[in-house]
Amino acid sequence: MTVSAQPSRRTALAAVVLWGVARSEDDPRDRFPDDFAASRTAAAVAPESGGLEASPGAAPAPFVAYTGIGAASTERAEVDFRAIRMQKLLGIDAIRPIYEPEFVRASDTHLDDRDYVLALSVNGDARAYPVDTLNFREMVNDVVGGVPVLVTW
Amino acid sequence: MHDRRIDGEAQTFANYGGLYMNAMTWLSRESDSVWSQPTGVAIQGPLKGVRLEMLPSTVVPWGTWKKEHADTLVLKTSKPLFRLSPSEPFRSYAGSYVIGVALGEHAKAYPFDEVSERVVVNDAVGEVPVLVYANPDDRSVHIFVRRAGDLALEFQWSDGRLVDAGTGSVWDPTKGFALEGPLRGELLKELPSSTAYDWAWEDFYPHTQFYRGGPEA
Repeated sequence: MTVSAQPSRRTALAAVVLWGVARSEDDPRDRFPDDFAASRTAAAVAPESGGLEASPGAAPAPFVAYTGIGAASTERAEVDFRAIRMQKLLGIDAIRPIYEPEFVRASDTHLDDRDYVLALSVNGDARAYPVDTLNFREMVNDVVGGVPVLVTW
Repeated sequence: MHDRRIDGEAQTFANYGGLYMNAMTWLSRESDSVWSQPTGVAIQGPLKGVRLEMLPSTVVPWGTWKKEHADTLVLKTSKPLFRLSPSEPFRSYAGSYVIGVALGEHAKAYPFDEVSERVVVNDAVGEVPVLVYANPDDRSVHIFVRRAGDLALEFQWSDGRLVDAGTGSVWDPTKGFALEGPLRGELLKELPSSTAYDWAWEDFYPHTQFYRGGPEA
């Protein structure tokens, strides 16, 4: 009998999530009560939507994306955020990011050549983050080539 | 993949635990704002509307990355108790996978299967001429601005080598620099891109165009 990989991955993810929920620190619904109050009203009006859609028809304006000018500033993008479509599922860090990543050389990893990685190179500093790890940690706060980098999956 | 700095100050990002338009959200600790992953734009809190700068990155097999960057570091992971067969991301269920590029107000999505059939595609995102390189064998994907100084370049894939038709220079397709020929030493600017399902990309960039092949100019 063969056992498919997917169920075991799901089980592992569920375990990580449950562990995270047990130790997550707060309910962010308390953080931005106005946004969620509006969402709750919308959900009550249209319960079949299953989500917290405030204005289902409103598409966001085009995001002003990459400009190649270096790190971000507090200059605001012109985006219409009136249509907040947020579903709150878990507490903060219920799925815990990696805050202090540790690295090894290419010769010292357990990875198979066919395993996928999310990778980048900054100022000649090349880093690879295994997708299998990112599948259950989702985020890494790192510094690559002197640049503070957020790796997300 | 984003630069964590805002006005020169690095932010620490937590997992907010919410889905915004079906995609994950982050919480910046120092500024108490919530961010949407696909765009890197703050959607709630004091920094609402601020956009993080995106960095070029790629999703590839480890063997391919190691070959392109022999001195790479790799995140330390514990040895698995048992090995699951390696699976390619974005192949697990319905949906075609695209390489998405957003430049200013323009967005374009390149279906991997479509571009890897050609290996090299000369295209434009808005006014910016771009080179899309997608290797069907090692799954390597890179997108560059195809311009050297004031010169717009047309690339070809010939006998497993990346060549610009105008000068005949030979280029490294993964790092974007000219190895041989008149343009030797020139470096193309790599663009940040996202690997995503086509429908997810379109959710966040509803004005996106999709590359559909057709005859090369």
